[in-house]
Amino acid sequence: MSLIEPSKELPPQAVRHSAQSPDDPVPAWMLWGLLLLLIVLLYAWRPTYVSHLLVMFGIYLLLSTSLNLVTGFGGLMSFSHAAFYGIGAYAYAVARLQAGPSGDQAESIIWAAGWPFVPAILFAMAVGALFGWLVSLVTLRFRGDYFVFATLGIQMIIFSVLYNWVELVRGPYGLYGIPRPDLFGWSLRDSWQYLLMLVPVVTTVVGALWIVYRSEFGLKLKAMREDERAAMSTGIATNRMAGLAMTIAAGVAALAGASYASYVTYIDPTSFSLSESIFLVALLMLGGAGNLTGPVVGTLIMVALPEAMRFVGLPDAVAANVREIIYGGLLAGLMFWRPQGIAGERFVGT
Amino acid sequence: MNLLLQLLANGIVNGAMFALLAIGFGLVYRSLRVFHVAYGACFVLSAFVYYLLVTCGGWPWWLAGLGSIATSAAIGTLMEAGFYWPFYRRRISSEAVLVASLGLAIMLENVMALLFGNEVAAIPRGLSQSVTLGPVRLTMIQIAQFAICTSVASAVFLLLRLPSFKIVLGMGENTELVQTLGHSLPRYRMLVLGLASGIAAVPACLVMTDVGMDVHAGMSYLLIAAVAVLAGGVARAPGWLLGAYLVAVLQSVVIWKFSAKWTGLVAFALLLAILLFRREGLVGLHKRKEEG
Repeated sequence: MSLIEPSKELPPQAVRHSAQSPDDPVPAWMLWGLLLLLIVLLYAWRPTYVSHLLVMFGIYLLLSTSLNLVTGFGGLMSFSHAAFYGIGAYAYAVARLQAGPSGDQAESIIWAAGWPFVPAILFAMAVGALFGWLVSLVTLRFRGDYFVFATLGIQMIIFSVLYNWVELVRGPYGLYGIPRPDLFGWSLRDSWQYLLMLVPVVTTVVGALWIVYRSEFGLKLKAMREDERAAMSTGIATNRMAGLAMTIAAGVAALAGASYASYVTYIDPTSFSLSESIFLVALLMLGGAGNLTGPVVGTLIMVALPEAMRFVGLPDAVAANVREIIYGGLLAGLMFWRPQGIAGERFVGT
Repeated sequence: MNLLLQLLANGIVNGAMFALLAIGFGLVYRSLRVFHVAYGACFVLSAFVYYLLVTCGGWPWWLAGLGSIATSAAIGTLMEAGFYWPFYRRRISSEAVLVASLGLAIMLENVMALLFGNEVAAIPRGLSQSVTLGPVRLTMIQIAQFAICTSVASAVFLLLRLPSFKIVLGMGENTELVQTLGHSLPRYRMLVLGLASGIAAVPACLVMTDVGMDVHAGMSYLLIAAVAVLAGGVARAPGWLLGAYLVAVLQSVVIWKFSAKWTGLVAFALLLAILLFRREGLVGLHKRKEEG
């Protein structure tokens, strides 16, 4: 008995990563307190501009924390995350839109279900996860640069279908008039109301992802990242683990897409292009991949940067380019001085 | 049928240009193990240098072309010395270098957007004369494109057969050996990037003369080059040519059969299919996993 017992214990190395402190920068009660404060403030103050920023922050937080599972933990740099984001947005839109008397739009797309809010969101997540799984079947046969390129190809293919197959979802014309959420007969029209709904959703999903990060599954992904062959030799089915990670990540990205579609009420494929995928990877690399805080820091910077630029007072035409230059420079500089990102644990790849 | 022949001819002309693009990208990827994302930005930059020399400087086309090639080669060399070499010295992983190169590409693209604006720039010219060969009709510019690109490609292949250039091809296989044998690695790396960027300037000028270009075109040309190299096979240079012609001809066939809007999708589907069934590319060397 005593001979078998110790071998069931995780090695000390793994224990350090799994349960306790180094990953955990802030005590949990503080986070919950902040959240509560936020909700109270929102209800009291009802700010439009700040709410809008926080909504975008929440959506991008979903995207970066889910990408982190694949890229930070699995060590697989995926350039197709925006495609899943887009699939979620479109799946939500077609599930919500009604083929009605007003709808010349609904007649020109392949299918319009007119479902309520909650089933539509769940449907979007399921479709996203399904696509994630299918894509993983193809792309996980590659590693390294080839994986990067395979996911990039998938991104281009999905974008091309969304953009060019006009009969499917109207291509470049986009879908408009996507219904905002209505929960228990309460329709969410202002951004602060939307934020009130989004905050619990994002908290739950990001919290669940944090649990996944620290679970045995997360550890197996990390093992795969560190040394895939060694991980396989200890009995970890690395391909299956990575496939599961991609499925979960795509499902969460689709949730982000559905939130985006229901928030802005108009979508077109250009929001889900390769440059968006690049932006998401950059955001994660900037913050740092492979732990809890990295994606949060990255998202914070990327959402705040355009706003900060606005206060500098550059003309609009120049500001967009200057912002891109700053963010390209940040990316290149970080890869050189701090490849693990601002708050990251370790850079992906070897 | 005649339309197909015409489109095939167009495809072959484009293939000759893509081939040069692929040779440049392939050289860097094979010898330096760098996924040179900024290559696309370099391509666009050389096209705009040519544009400025011709329209503002009033230079004759051949002199402007040489000027553009020289500028591009200089920028490539500078990029290696000031950007990729420090990364190499720190032994930073190839994926991190890819991301950094992406950052560099984004910076260059936006600097160019600030300088040249977002509109398509094209060199003003009249209707060009055309030559009819049976059912196929080619403009003089297309013929020039094909002739120039093919001769440059041949010249590069002859160059690579020179004994001193063997090192360039061997560098990717065993980088340490280059230094062990007493060659200067940084100098060879600069040579490769300079050469690759100079090569890329040739199709850049030709595209600029024919249909023009905007500053955001870099990424799509980079992707064409990368698809050609990966589909053809990274290990052997003739594979890059095959990949480039395949992509170009396939694009023409897609235009004939379906529509121009599906060319991107077909190129990537082709790449994925080839990689799935032949990881090493069409004419690549098959390696065991242990050989890396």
